[in-house]
Amino acid sequence: MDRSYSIKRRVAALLSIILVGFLCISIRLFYIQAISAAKYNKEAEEQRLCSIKIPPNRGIIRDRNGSELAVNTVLDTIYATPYLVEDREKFAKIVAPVLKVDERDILNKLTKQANFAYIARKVDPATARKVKKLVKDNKIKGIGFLKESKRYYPFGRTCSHIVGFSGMDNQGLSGIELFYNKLLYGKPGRIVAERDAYGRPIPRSIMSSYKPVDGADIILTIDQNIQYKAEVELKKAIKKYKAKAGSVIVMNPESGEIYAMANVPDYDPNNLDSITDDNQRNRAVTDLYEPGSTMKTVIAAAALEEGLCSPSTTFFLEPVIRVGSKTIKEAHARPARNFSFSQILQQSSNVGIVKVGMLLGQSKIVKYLEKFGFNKKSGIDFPGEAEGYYPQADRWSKVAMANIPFGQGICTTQLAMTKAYAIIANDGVPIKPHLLINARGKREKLASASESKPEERILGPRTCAQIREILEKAVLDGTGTQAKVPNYSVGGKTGTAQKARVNGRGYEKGKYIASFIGMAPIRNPKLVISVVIDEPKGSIYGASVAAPVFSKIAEFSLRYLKIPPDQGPETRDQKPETGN
Amino acid sequence: MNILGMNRKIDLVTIVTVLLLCAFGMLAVYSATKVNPAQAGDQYFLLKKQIIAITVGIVGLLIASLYDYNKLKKFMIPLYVLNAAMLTTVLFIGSTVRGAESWIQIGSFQLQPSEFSKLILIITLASFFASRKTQLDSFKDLLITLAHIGVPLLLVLAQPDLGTAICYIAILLGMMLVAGSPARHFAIIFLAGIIFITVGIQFDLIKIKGYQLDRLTVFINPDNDPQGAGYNLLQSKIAVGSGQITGKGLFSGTQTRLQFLPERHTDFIFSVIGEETGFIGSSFLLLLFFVLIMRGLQTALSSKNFFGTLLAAGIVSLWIFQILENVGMTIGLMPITGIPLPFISYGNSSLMVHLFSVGLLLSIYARRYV
Repeated sequence: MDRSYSIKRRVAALLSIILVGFLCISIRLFYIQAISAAKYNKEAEEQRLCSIKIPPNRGIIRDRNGSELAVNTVLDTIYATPYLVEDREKFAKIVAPVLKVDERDILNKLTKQANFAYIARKVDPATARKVKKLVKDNKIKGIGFLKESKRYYPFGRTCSHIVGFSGMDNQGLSGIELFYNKLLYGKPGRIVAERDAYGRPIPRSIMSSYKPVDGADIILTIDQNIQYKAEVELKKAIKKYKAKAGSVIVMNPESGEIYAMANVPDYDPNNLDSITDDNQRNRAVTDLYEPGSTMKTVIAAAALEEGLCSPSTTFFLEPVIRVGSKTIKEAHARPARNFSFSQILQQSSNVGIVKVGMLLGQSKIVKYLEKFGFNKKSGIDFPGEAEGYYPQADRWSKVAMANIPFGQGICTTQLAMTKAYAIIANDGVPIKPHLLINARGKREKLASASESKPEERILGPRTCAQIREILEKAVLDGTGTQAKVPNYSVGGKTGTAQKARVNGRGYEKGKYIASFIGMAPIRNPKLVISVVIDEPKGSIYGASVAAPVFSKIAEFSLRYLKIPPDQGPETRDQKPETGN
Repeated sequence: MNILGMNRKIDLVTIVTVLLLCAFGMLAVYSATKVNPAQAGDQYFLLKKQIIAITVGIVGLLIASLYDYNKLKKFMIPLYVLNAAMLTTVLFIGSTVRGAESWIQIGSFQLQPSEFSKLILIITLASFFASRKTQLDSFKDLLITLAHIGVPLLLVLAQPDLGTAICYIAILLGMMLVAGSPARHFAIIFLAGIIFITVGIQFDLIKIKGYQLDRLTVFINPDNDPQGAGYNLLQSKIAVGSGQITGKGLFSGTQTRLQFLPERHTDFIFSVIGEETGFIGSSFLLLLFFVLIMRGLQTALSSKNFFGTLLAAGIVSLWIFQILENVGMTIGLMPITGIPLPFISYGNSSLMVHLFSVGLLLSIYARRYV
């Protein structure tokens, strides 16, 4: 009886251990499954649900005639599930030569602690085929292939600065690709699906999904043929004069549409490695320069508009003129003589235009510079436009009066300068230069150029007509004779500007920017074309370097656009009747 | 036949409880393995093996319940030798699973001698204690007891199978308690254990492997090894916790189905039940275990025979330890060891041994007045 009593006591001891054990387990279980259950539930969801982004197709970029400037191609991307790759060294060793990369690079990608690693993205089909074969022949596990769309630019270098380029994830990085990236990109779709512990999505487990909305197709104002011609002629001139760089703009002055915008140096958008800071700039928009004599037209227009003189007003011009401490000389020395207002522009007289400028006075000059829009961006739909600079009226030094009338001491872009000539071509009504005609989504029109409405008139039509006449004379027997175009009346102005030193103190010796801006047909201009050549060698003048480029591009464009010739071959050399 | 007599001879509560536990286990194993990529094709593959093992186990249970357990006392020495021989054999011809040489392949079935050795140890220890009756107080008694358990203990440690070794200790302590060993013996064992482990590790005598140490310590700080042992614990807690009160429904556990939960049909089967049946289901499972253990204790108490009492106490001790350890490790209360959940975890040997044990309990219950 004693023993059975003590056994009972000992079993009771065992029972109490059991009870304590079960109590602990129950409390802990209640804590996990009731009190902090929400936390664990959330962790479970985070683990098993994965959201997969489905990229939309990027919009196509076309020129005004429908030629495709930027399209999408589908290429293979090689990826790995690193933990599934058994013999990593072997894989790296056999694949590296095919992909033309270093073995160690591949090995590094594989040793990362991840379920997914890119081996090579968007490889060409031949390489993809070789890698697929290697993987199959060597029975390598954990290597996969997926299709990704890559941007392709059928015209290569042509238009490269305008269209720009996009990156590995189809995001616009420059040019129109960047400016209209939101429209072009579209909206990515999304799939929320279950995945297992190894990160593999589970088929038929889709919890929610929505389709991607493809990017809008864009039509540009660019005409691929004019663009090509502009690039060819620009390159020829750059080669001939061993120039550093150059740009051409071809613009419709009535609509503001840019038909061509060519830059040298250029790059191949299909080879992103070829792109440098220097060759990727659309200089015509992003770079500032001192325009030189092409600015004289703006000063002359202001003087006429203000009624201070007429084309026939005579000025007595000394060989040089002193303004403050500065002596203004002509580009080509001449004796003292009388010049009409028109001749000042035709012959591009520095002394003459300074006199006209003094007649206007600084406040009126500044007023007109503002009216022409030199104090702000043109507003073109292109990223990175530079804003011009010139001294404001209250900071106007004496030297400024001796500089600005002939386009030194003022910074602007080629585009702003072109726009100023377009105002004169368009009877005094400024219009914003632009590159977009429209952007169309699958169903609706997303954007169009309608916002590019003509602005308030800044010059009278009479002033503009007078200036155009003078510009025509400048081409006929002034500085711009090499800009002539057979069968078409042409007007324009040359410019040969000294290049400012980078430190802002004075000018670089022997470094010039040669330019020409002109329009045709002169009585009702349909085109404004500007040519800027940076640091030509051999010849440095706008008249000899830039004007011939204008002539070639204008001749091609006028004929190509079927603009009726306004001068028969027999009338070509006849001077129009003007009241000079 | 006398219905009342039948009723007094057969412990119906235990039988129903055990059958419910087995059913619970089959459902959980099926849920855990139906999308197991290793068994591509047949989603019932492991369930079928589980059913075979349970069937064999129930046959063994019936035989054991009809067999007079008292006869086992005579076989102490042969059983002890058999046990040692079995554990020695596995060291030479065993196949290695998870770092331990503990399996013997018989046809398509794998047997784990260390599982069977637990029950054999209970029988031999019970006969040993019963044969010494009340003479268990002296230090010499303790030494003989330790020698008795020492041989199989060292053999399983050599595999190395830490889980089984700890089970042996649990059996020993439980049976010593019921047999009436003095408190100082427990203290000596406790101290000896600490010295043994310290010295063993110091002189590299215990071949404890890195992964074993990680598993043992990770429950204190799961961030220690988030990719290895900590991962298992974290996933287990997420599965159990996300089951919440009512569970995600049978066969609908996402952490189980999507294979986030490791070792889900064996060591972490409780997490499957926790996820799919929630707090209600897992509490019900714990209740079944509690009922079974209460019946075991009742059997131990009711036996007029010291051998029967000790046998029942040994079996109950093993169950308690395995249940508390296994469930505890899935919810971060206990270190992670490879100890299966009785009647539930997939594993032929484990299932059979626990069912045989139930048979012995039933035999003791039926002969409690003898």
